[in-house]
Amino acid sequence: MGNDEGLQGGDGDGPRGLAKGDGGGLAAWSHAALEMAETSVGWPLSPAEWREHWEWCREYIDREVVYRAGPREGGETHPPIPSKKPGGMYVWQFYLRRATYNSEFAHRLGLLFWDHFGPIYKRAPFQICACWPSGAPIGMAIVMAAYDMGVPINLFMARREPKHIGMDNWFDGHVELNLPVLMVDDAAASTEYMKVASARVQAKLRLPLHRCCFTVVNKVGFGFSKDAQHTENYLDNMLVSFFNMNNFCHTVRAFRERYGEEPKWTGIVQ
Amino acid sequence: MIDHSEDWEWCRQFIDHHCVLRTDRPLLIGPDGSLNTWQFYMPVATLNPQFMARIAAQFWHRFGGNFDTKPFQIAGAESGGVPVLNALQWFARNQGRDVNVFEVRKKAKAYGLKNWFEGRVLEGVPVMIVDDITASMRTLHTVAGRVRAVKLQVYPYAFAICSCRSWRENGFKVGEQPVNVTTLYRIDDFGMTPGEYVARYKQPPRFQGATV
Repeated sequence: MGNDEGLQGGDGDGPRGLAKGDGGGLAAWSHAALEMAETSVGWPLSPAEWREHWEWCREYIDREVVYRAGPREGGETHPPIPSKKPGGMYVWQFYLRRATYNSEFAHRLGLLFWDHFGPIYKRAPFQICACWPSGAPIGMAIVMAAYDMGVPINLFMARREPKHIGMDNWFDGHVELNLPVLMVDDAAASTEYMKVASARVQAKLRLPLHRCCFTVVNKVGFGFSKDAQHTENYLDNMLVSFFNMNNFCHTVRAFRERYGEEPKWTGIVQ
Repeated sequence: MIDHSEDWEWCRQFIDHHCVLRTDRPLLIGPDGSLNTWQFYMPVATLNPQFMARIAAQFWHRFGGNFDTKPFQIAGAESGGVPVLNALQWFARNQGRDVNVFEVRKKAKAYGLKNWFEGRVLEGVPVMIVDDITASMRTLHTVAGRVRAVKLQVYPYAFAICSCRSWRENGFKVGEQPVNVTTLYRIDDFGMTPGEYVARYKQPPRFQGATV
């Protein structure tokens, strides 16, 4: 597509419609930048720092992200809510963007990500593909944390449907030609957005996937069937997640027992 | 007084070099179904932290004083506004400002809470609307209407990085309330045809966006 008549590709377009960018230069720079980052910004995290960031994020999700149906003290009741499947109801649901749009959560998530992936990136740089729409704030948290550390990394987005104008593109942003792709989303659960996006990255961009993929939450744990977590079907990717379902209170009662108060979201819900 | 002219020019060139897909003939489908010879692809810029650092610096230079006097929260339109939200919030935090942001969906979620907004929405805090690019201000206006529908106050300023028209300042009304729209760039700041680009830079355009 990039060589089609009439398209101005500059010096970069290949048959996949990708711009050449600075792929080789980016990889070389990343190594030097990572060495600097390691010595200059107190990264990686100490075990105590890691634990503090992880626990802060865990509790924030538990308090602000999980919808739990059930009665509250004082007479109020939060009803079950309609499920994706027609006729079904949820008594429990994540709203992870309530966390990923919080500046403190995003900051800590970025630190946790680079604590884990920094050494991996140093050995072999990669680029990030975040899945619209929920992966976008996570992808941004990753690259902005990298920016603060002086580490260059490329981010692009995988759409759920092609843009309906322009070039009808499935991907947004700049794609580096020579770097494997780390897929990023908010949760690894039953809906196969990440798997489908991964397939498109390989088929349309002809880029290899990184051996890892990343989600904030892996929706497995006690009481949650692995059938509900589609990435278990991936052939050769290792899912890295910071949280699973065992980290959160599944019921109002469990929340009360843990925190000594009723679950209550801040802000208005519309 | 901090001078952000270097940031402005750096970002202008970034957009001009990397974010505009130009064709010699009308091959690019427009929102109204017409065929065009140019198309902005702002995610090439808004997903780039170097670019967004400079945009955020200019934004907070313009609106930081307002925020410090009377805080606002920021709402972005799905989907182009999302990286703008995240970056503005990130760099605000680096400056010691804690700004709440949320996303306004194009349509309510079909299940669950059937919410229009993603993220926390704070009651009693005015809402500034932002987007990556605007043409007719229709998206900004729609988002403002959605915010107003839930009895939140719409901030009297809205922001977009770029206007597809020949203006940087414009406005609309939501109900009776005027909203002044500020953009950093207008279409005249760029070479929109291949000929204009080559005349300006003496080299062919280097669009960096994915076209698949």
